[in-house]
Amino acid sequence: MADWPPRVRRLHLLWLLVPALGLLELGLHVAFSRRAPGIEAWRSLAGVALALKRPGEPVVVAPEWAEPLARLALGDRIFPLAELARADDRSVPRVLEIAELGARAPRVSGWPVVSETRNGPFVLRVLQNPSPLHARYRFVDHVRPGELTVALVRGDVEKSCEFTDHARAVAGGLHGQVAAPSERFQCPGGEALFVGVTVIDDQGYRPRRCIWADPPAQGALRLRFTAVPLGTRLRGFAGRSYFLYRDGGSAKVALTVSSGPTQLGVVRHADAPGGETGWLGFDLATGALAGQTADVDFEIRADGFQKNFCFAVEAVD
Amino acid sequence: MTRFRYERRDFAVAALLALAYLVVLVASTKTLGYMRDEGFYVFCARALEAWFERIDAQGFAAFGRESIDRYFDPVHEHPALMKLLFAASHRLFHERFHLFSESGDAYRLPGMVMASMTVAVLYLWGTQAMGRAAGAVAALSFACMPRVFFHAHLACLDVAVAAMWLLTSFLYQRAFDERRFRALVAVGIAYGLFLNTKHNAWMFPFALVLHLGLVRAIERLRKLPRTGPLVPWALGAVVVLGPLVLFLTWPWLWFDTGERVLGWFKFHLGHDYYNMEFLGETYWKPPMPRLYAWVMTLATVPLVTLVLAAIGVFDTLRAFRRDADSARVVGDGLWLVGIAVSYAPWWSSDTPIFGGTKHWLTAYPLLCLLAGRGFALTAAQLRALASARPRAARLATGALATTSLAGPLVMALHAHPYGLSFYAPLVGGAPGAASLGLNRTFWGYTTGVLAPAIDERAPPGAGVYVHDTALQSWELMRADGRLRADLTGTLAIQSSNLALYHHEPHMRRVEFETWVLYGTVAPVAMGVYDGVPIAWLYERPAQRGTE
Repeated sequence: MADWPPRVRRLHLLWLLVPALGLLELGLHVAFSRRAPGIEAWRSLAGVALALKRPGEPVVVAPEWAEPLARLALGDRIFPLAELARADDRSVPRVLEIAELGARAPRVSGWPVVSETRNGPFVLRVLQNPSPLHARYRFVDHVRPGELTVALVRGDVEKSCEFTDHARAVAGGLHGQVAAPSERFQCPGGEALFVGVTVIDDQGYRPRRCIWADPPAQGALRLRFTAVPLGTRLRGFAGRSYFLYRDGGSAKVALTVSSGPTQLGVVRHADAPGGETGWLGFDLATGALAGQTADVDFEIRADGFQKNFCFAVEAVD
Repeated sequence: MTRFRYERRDFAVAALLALAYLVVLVASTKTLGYMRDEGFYVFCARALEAWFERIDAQGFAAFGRESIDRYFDPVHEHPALMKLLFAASHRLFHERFHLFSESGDAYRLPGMVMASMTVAVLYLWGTQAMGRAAGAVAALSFACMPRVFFHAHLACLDVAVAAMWLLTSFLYQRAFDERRFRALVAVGIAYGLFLNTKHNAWMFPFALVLHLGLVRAIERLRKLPRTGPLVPWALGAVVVLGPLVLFLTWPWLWFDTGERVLGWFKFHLGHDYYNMEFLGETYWKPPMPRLYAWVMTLATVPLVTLVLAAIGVFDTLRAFRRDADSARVVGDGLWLVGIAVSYAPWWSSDTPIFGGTKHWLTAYPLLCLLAGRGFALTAAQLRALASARPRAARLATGALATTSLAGPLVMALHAHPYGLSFYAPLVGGAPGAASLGLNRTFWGYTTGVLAPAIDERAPPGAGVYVHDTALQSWELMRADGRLRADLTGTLAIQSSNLALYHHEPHMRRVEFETWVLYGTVAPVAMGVYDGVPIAWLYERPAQRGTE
């Protein structure tokens, strides 16, 4: 460009950057496409991961998007559903972080490193929760006969919901109801009225394992857990499938928690102005019952339709 | 305006490029599963094949209202041209001449031909505007865009509408100062068929008005003589002939015309919002992110193509101010305005983003022409740099073409058959994009890569939960022998032996349902692109135990 100003013409060597960019981009493409480990690399990790994995100490994968590969390669022993879809990390003593590409799991990146092992493209870190809560009892692990009784309560009338381990397990797909497990307390009044353990999607579309306790249109659903070792508090979370109700479902659900004659608290779950709020935490003090073993009742009432309530609670010190 | 005259070899090269692209597309189509929309369009095409049979049997009576309403009703929210071509291709090349053993390939042929035609037109227009080398670079830059290469395979409308935008623009610039009836009719017919391809065509007349304003403004600014009449006859041909051709070639509009045209407009102007992940957020209702189109373009188009296009824009704007002749003002003006108008809807936060990059695919051929312009300028500069060494100067153009196209070519081929999972190195490739929270896949087509695992693992007569794959697409795979004939696609996880999952964050609840019903969180097979999980398959553990 002879008519360009001299100071611009002096920069003519910059034109070489264009072919250089083409080559650089090609090189980076090749490098990036080979960087992340594939299925076989993940499979080769099974031995060391199993050696480091302890019960009750979940595995977290960094970056999070690689987790399905880890589940495929390492299986259910490394990823028990109860750990994978846990309510949160507060009562987890330690986690095993499996990281690739130099990533860290943001939720636990501040936790002290107990041990660090390199294995091919992976780094396995055992991370210590700096202030773990001790969970004495996780209610979601005790949804079974002998430890839980369920009843529909309407006025003075109670109708028992019987346990079955061979109910028809169903799921609604993307726009349908969450999965109804085959092991559940089936209430009179329809197949959809039951108490059982399922998994819902929270506001980040992550899994949360919880007790499905859909209250009837009238009356209440009462869950009585027997011989619960109580700590100082009951920590819990409650919500509905975020995807299903994020545009609103006009539900108001009240979860009343009591032990014998003592009411420990009432948790109300309602839509935010935009729709479902998602998986929200609550905390109830056990007061004088701390340190005792007692029955705990959860009574769920709702007004409006589309309640589809699910909760998870643990008794902590 | 001086009329550019092509040599015979220009048409030969254009045809060769198009044919080569078509061969590559046809050869690579079998590994690509069927998209949701392909399932729906094949359903429409089958209805139209029945209409063809009725024409054979009843002649003129098949053009009556009852017949038209019946056969053109399926997915009448989109016009008929491509659906008619899908149907005709299937009937001719699969059923009659057995050119394609799989019906899906025959349904896809018209889309592939449209993509190939785009390559040819790009070469011709690029050659006219910038010379043969730049024309070839423009054509091949388009062919090698990884997302374009993906869409170019499909029995869908997106590459076709990009082809029609380009073809109509090409004919329009050649007819800009014309009064010849043939040239004007050609533009009018092209626009009518463009309208009959997809609703992106609605924006085209606005683009032409903007373009006319731009041309006249430049002429006034630089005191140039006016090119052609104040309002080109070609614009009149677009506005008058175009809708007429649409009416004649889309029989659905023959009855209740006003109501149906209004319904067509209403459907697209008030389209549902579907989910789309962008930078870690799932958007399903307004406000949509205004940066979406720009970021996704940067993230999915090879950077070398974008840089060449940016140089082309710079060169064109500079030429507009100084020395561009009328042909360049008209031609390059159409490229700039076409790109701006194609992206314009995404300035609004009300415009849906669910279809990803395919929504503004009409801009990409024009972007590639500007990349050709950038290539021509860069090549000239490199030749000047090497002028002291004549041999190096001679090699400069070829070396630049090689370095401009090698990367896109490698990326496009590597992305197959995971086209929608492709991301450019600028964002770290697929792993980088996954970390940024950019959509990994949609449309449920990655069932194609899991088909061998499904066939291997499914017990006889098994039910397979298809998740995001349309049942019509599943059936097409089965009919074509890409899946075992004894398998049944189902939308009920409880009645399935195997369950597919195509990852999008908002769909994870489907995976959770599978965990509960199957009692496992461990998939048994996975489609993985560059280390990133895209789609996976679950198997009932009880079934595994019986193996």
